[in-house]
Amino acid sequence: MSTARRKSVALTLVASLAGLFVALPLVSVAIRVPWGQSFDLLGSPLIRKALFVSVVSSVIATVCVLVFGVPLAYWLSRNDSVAARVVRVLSVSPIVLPPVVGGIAMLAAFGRRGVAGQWLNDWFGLSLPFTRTAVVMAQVFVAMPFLVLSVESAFRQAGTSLDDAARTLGASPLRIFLRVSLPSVLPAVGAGAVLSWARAFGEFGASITFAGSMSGRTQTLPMAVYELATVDYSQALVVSLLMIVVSVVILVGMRDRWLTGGPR
Amino acid sequence: MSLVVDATIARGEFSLSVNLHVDAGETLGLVGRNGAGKSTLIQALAGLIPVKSGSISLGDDVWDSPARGCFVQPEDRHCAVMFQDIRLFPHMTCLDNVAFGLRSDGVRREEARDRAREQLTKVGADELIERRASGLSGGQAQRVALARALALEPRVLLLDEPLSAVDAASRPMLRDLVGEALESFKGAAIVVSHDEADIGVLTGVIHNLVC
Repeated sequence: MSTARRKSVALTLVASLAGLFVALPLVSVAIRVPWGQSFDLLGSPLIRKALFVSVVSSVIATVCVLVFGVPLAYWLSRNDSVAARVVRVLSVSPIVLPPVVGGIAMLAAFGRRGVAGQWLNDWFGLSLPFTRTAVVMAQVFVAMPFLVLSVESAFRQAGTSLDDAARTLGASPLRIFLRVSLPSVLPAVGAGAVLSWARAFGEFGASITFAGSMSGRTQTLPMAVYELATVDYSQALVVSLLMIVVSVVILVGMRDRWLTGGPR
Repeated sequence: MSLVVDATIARGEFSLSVNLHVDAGETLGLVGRNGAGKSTLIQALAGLIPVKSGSISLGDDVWDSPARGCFVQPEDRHCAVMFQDIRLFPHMTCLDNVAFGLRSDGVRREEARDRAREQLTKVGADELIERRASGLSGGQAQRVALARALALEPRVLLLDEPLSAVDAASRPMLRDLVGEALESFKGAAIVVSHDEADIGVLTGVIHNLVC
């Protein structure tokens, strides 16, 4: 065997091991799921409630991410000041932050004695932690960076030449944003929204810290899985499989429709 | 109202001193090699970049004068530009491209569309009205861009290489079209080209840009 050939065999072996290492656990879930009764298990009250909380909160979180994240991405893309750089690093950092730290940070800001929370409590009698609002807030916190990254780079790529043309035609900054800049980055907005939704849907650490895991109120699907893992393992398997399927469907959809730019 | 430019424009290392005077109803032709700063000058006139020193003014309105602390934003200059790289909004129809400036100016939707339709017909692009701007040929795009610049009835018209994107066959036709547009334009106009023959046909007054 030649050296080159031996090298490629070694590479293939390592690559297969890596692939297997990731694929095996995912496939194992499907193997171990009690297929016969899985439909009944999905219908259990605990899962139904958690699914409801998860779907509603992640959809609301995604809407919030879009409403606030797209303007933020636009501002960042048109700004190279030191302030913009600081804002960029901070607003993207939840991607690499341990989620539980995000939860602690949310408590520090919006907890009863939090930096902003104490005012909300004193002035409006609002207490955010351990509410459904808190679930959504934690999800927005961890999911927003995915949208901001994707949309900011799209705005940068689109450049300012069309904006400039619109300015010479007398358009206001808001009109330029809505009618010229935004339409040209819609695919990236869609991709960012789907990624953000997936992140929000799977959110666990920040939410359980800031919102707790109260069934029917703040317990989301991942929290339910965590709780079930020790009590009813087969039910945890069923829900896990459901979430794996959702993730894979999203990834496949993204690959074909957005990540590669789609068929031309 | 005449457009008066006496300014130094800098962009990075590049610096350009310009002294121009264009009366209303007059067209000034600007020639100069590639890199002589033609497009930079257009941008400064449109207000997309500020001048470094000196001033740009139209009649009694000072558009840009660092010494006096004046700078009028591009959206308030009523200075229409036909860009060298055309810059039609790709996701809009040609009609919406031409109506865009009017709508920005507060003209009602129906009226803006009527006027845009009229303008497109004038430049011989009436069959493109419902077409998306992204699928046009170079010559078609240039017609629409000309219509878009004229629709606002701007005070100043800047044409940056208005014949650059057309093939040789349709060049004379578009040149006539631009010529007619300049003929009937009431404000100050500047045409930029690297081709002296084109400029010669379009205008009598030629300024050679040297940096």
